[in-house]
Amino acid sequence: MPETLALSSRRQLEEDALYLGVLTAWQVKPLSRLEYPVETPILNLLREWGLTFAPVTRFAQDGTRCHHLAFSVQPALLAAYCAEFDGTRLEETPAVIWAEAHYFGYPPCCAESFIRAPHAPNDLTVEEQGLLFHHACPGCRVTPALIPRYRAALAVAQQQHQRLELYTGAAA
Amino acid sequence: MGEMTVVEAIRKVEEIHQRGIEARNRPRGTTIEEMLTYRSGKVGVYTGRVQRGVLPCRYCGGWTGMGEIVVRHEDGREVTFGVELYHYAEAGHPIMPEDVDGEILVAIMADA
Repeated sequence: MPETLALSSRRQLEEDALYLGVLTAWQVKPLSRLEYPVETPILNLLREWGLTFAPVTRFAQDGTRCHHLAFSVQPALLAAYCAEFDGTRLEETPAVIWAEAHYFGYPPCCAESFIRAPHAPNDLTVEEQGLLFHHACPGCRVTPALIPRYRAALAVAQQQHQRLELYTGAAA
Repeated sequence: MGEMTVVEAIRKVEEIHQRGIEARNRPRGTTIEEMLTYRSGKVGVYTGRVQRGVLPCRYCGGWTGMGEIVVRHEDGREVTFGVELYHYAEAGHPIMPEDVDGEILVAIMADA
């Protein structure tokens, strides 16, 4: 991990990687993507949970190659994601937002709302919105039903993260 | 001294945000809104709409946060912008008028 990332941010990213792993293993999210490198013990744990990985290369506008790691318990879905995104430019067009919502398990209503108004205020509490990787749309009827599973997944991820720190001896 | 630029204003907001994270030690009974509002002088930076996860910057591939920052002056003026502008300001990426109301932001931060 780049030295420029503060340790607290690194910890958060590690926890998020495990959180995404649990959500994807439980198929709350059909597929997830890591935009940053993570330590081997974390990847090993995700493998134990039945996740398959695929590297995906994207290109920024300045030509920088960005190496992402997609993962899912559904190999066919993973292959479809790679076919659609590997070697493509990073962009946030409506088509990309729709596609990512499909792969990442975001409700279609939230994707539509995000395209029209990315930060439209919603009815979730700060804690509820803080559990999610998507911005819930105003008056969303789908996201609230997902919240308990997200909360349970985060609890598992935090538990596993603590356990890993005991073994890897991560610096305080 | 010349007038503050939008980039300078955004960097000042980020500084308040970062100092607030480092100094996070609020007394019991603090509300979530208060916990997530980092104050400096007359300005409060509300971070409750910053989302989980990172996003790759479309300009350079660098990592940016997701969600929104709300900057509030005690006189009621308020402006919001996507947290990715912290990265844009640091990396020298273009910051467009649709990204933030620069006039209000500069005015608020100049009177912080």
